[in-house]
Amino acid sequence: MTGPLVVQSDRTLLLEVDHEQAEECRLAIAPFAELERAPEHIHTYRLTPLGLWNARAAGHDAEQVVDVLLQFSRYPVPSALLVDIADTMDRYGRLRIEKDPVHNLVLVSTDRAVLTEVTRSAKVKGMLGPRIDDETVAVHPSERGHLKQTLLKLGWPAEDLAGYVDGEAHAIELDQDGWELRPYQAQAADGFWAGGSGVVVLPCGAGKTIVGAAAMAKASATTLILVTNTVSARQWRDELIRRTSLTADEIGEYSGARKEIRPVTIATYQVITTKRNGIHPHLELFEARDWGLVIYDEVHLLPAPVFRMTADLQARRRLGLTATLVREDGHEGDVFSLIGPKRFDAPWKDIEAQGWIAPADCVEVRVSLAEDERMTYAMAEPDVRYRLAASAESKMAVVEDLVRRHEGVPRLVIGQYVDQLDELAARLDAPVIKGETTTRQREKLYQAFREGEIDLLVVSKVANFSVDLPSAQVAIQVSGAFGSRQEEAQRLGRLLRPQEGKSARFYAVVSRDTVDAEFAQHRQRFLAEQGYSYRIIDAEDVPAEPGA
Amino acid sequence: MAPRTLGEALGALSPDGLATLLRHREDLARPLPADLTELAQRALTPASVARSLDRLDAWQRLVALALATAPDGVDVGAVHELLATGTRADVARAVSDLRSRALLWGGDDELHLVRTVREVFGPHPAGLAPVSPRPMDPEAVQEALQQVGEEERTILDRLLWQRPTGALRRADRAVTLAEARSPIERLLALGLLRPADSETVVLPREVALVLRGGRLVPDPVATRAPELAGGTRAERLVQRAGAGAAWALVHDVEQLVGDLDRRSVDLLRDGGVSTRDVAALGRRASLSPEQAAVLLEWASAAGLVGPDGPRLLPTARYDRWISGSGADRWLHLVRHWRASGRWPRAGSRGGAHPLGPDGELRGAVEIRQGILAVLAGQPVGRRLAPEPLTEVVAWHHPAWAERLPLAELVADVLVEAEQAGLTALGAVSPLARVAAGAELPDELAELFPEPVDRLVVQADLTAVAPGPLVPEVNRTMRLLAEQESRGGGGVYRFTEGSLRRALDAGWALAEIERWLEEHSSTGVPQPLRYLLADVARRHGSIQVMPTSAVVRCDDPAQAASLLGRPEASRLGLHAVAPGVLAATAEPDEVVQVLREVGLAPVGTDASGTALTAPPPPRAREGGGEAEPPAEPVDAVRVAELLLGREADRRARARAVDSAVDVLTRAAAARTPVVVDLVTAEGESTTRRATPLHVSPGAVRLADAASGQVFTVPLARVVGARDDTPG
Repeated sequence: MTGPLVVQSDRTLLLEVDHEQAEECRLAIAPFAELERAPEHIHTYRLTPLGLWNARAAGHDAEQVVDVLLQFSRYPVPSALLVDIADTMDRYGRLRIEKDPVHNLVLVSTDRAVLTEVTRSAKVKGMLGPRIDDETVAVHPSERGHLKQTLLKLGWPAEDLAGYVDGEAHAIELDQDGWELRPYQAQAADGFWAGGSGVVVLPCGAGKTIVGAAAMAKASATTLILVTNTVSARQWRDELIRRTSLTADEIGEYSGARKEIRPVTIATYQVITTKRNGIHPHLELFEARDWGLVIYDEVHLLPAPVFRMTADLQARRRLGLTATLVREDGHEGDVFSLIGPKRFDAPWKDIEAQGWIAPADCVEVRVSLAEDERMTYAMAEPDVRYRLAASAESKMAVVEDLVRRHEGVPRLVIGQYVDQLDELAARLDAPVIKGETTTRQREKLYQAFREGEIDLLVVSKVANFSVDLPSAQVAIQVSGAFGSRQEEAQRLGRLLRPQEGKSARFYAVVSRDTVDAEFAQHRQRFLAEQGYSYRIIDAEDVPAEPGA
Repeated sequence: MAPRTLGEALGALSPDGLATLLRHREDLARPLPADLTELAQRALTPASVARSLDRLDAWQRLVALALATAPDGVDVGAVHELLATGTRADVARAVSDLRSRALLWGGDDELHLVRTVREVFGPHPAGLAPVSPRPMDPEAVQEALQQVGEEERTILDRLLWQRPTGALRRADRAVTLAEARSPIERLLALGLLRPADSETVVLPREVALVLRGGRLVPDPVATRAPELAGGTRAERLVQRAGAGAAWALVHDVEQLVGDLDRRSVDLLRDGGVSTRDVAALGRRASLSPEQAAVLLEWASAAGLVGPDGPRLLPTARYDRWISGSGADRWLHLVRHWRASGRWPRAGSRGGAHPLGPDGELRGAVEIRQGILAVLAGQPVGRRLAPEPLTEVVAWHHPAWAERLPLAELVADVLVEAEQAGLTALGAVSPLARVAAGAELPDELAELFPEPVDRLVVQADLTAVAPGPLVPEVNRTMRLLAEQESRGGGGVYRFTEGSLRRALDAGWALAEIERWLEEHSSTGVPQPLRYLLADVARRHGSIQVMPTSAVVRCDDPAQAASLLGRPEASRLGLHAVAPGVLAATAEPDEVVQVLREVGLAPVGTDASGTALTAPPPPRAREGGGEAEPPAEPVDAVRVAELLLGREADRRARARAVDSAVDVLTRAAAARTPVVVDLVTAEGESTTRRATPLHVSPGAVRLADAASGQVFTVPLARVVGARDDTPG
């Protein structure tokens, strides 16, 4: 009994990564368990109803899951947990939404008790029509999405077999000239197409856009693509032109700047969720054409209003693309019921090859505040303490020191407070990008940074930390934290690309014994959980740090 | 010679036979009877007979009932005929079972049901009248029945199964069919009812038997226990899942009782634990309130918790228990549960309190063991459902099915069995046999995780125990860190608060570091060292003295900031020296408030020594500590003892008899004998003499040496033999 897995009663699975069977075990549990934390020695996975239902939708049954747990578990697994897993998985598919020649859309179950239970629930009021027989009840077609959401909340997720409209046909073909669809990309597209709707999980840089393009080629219909921001929209467009038979004229951009509706239209979440006078003026987009396919990029960031709109699009094929199914807001259930279950998961090896694990070396630099600063801090009201600590004068010298130590490589200094950044910029004699910097100026500075004309930039966190931030090798954060924890790790991964032989480095300069340090501890925990190496040093020890 | 009474029958038993009887009827040997006569008397008492009948299975009981309806001295064949079901061998088997329980005696050709058994079945066993003095033959009954109508039928039906007698005035009136004016009179006239006396009519036995179509009881009774139908699960799967549940049980009980250490629970006046406390205990151990209630009962039955005045506390036995191996701890729990006189699930139902009076159930031990025996008798892997299992238990114990909510009790035991791993995934696990009394085989014991003493410490400030921790390490880890996840292993998180707690408890920074280095298989990650150093640096930088409630800060800036706080006036804080503040409030309060505002003060006593936490209190080991109450009767030993005594008694009787023979012969021949006798003073002595005359009760002898004649009562003669010279 020396399996690599320890099964906990709170439904977490602890995987010992150095164990000889760890790789095999990881592959075996990936279909039904979500990776929660990945620090250096022991990774934590979690069993959730959604994860189990995803596995069910992908064709795995409870027997397999139980087998895997028993096979890899170091200790016998409590039967209560196994029973619970079987019961949970058994709930998926008891209810099915199907097409009916007479009643159009019906909810069907061979389990009358379950059907009765859900039809009697007050929550489904208005979604269901008359009961047709013991096993069938009519569904109002407009409520297909809401019904699925509600049934999921009631714990009886429905399998949607009602099919899809074909939409307006539009010829799209992959143009595999000088490149080839990678095997896993083809599998992902096939998996999606077979399931009809659902989510493909691929790590950053594994070619999600190409999976999207392959799906479009299969649909060969007008497509609406929803992306996080304009920059991403343009990347999609360029990629589609390069990889498919589509031309620039066939692809429209629907964003703050432009409102084009073409056979393939790429829209940003932001423009769709914009409200004017309490209504969403851009909803027309969904009705503008008879879309055959809707693609959601970065599903884990999908905002709530888009979910609501998606509920009405259940008859259209939907493809979600993401690197992780974990959402900060806990809306995983909406992704499952409205976009669809997970259809494909990238093999871990590929994720590792992408450098998602341990991409950068994180160093927290602790600065002792000067005597007068400590006094000021001690006397300050709680609401201004963070600002005082974060923008303490004592940090300046340390930042200068760090910048000097890494002379010659692309460096970024990141902060939250504009006056602090201005002062730093002046001291370091470096250009600064902040909220008020114009787009043109930003583009220009980024361009110069990318091309190596300048190797030091001071940027504000509020200056929209977007994807086109150039790759730096050293980032020094002087104040503030990134947004959500999820984004933090992802952005850090994108921001810092290790270059051959050298690891990228992320410094966080923190004031000792203040709330600043408390926040830093949260960050430390999260980054360590994501597999980043993490160290803490004293400001006095900076000179001993290996430089550029 | 065939025995003429139960006493004689018992006397003729082999040691094995007697041991079997005592195994079936332990009450006969408690307290130890003086001899077989007393044993036989006890075996005839109504209480003991009722108890023994209570333990018969359905078939044995039916055969006993059939015997009760039959006259004394019938043979097996007659009983079989009466039953009209099963084979003759089935009947003989049941008869032998009854005989081995001393409920009947005599050979198969002449069976005597013990009188008390007949009394228990009442005057009309199986609702049948005694054999009629002049029974009608079946054809005559059929013929008479053809002449009755609907109304008469109704009357007959009423007397058919329950009680064959009915009250009727002037029952002994003489009526003929022609004169009959009512249905009753017609029945009397036809002989289908008979007057028993002037006030009672009776449905004659032979009529009832014809009406019943030869059946003794309305519902058929199987001659053997019903087989459980249903599928099976793979043995390996059930074994592993069962062991997992067994370990989870040990683990859950440890969590639950360990929690009482940190937060003691007040008992209700009736000794129970309140619903709110049960829910809170459960929540902290990640258990449902029902599970927590049941496990509290288990822990109490195993003597791991006990009342200490108004509080519920872990016992010293708990401390010993947690250091045992997983398998031993599980065995301890299960064995005590098996022998517990309480019904744990009863204390978990709505409105009931665990450990309170609701959990009491008369006969709990026997009922539980009975159900467990059925469970353990099933092949490993057989799937179980409550209803079919209840049917099997009801066959084995028909008496329970009559007077107890058996379905509920079986369901209760199944729930507990699943929790303890006796069943897993709804199928019988190999642990069921162990719970029913078998030894724990090594291959099962090996499935319990070995405790580990090494941790994996990681940079995200967690420590993972890749298995159950040995108690010593576990205790320390729970002091140094917060437990985040339980189960096969444990996940602990180091926080500022947890490390401060350790420092408060008297650990020094170096000690903690050393301990971690010793117990970590991955070293101490740098961020953890930093956190430790940070906490230690701040810890104790503020000291509070009780005599004058002095607050001393190592750092004047901190003292100043303290004075600037709104809480300062509440505590009556004022600066007495740079970095030293005095407070008018009680020291405890000062410490409390300073902690509330986020500082890390340390309370000290008058000499400046830091106050540390006292050892946790322990309840006395009391009632719960007791071993399973009744020491089981060692039937073989008792049987040997009783038979030994019986042999002694007989030998004595024989010795006297033969002494009288010797004396009578010698008196006739006037030859000398050697006599062993007891004097009037009670001394044993031996004399040579020649018997002169043996009368009933006494013998007259002439002393061989002196010729003096003396008389000895025969009762005082122990032995006599011919005095052969040489």
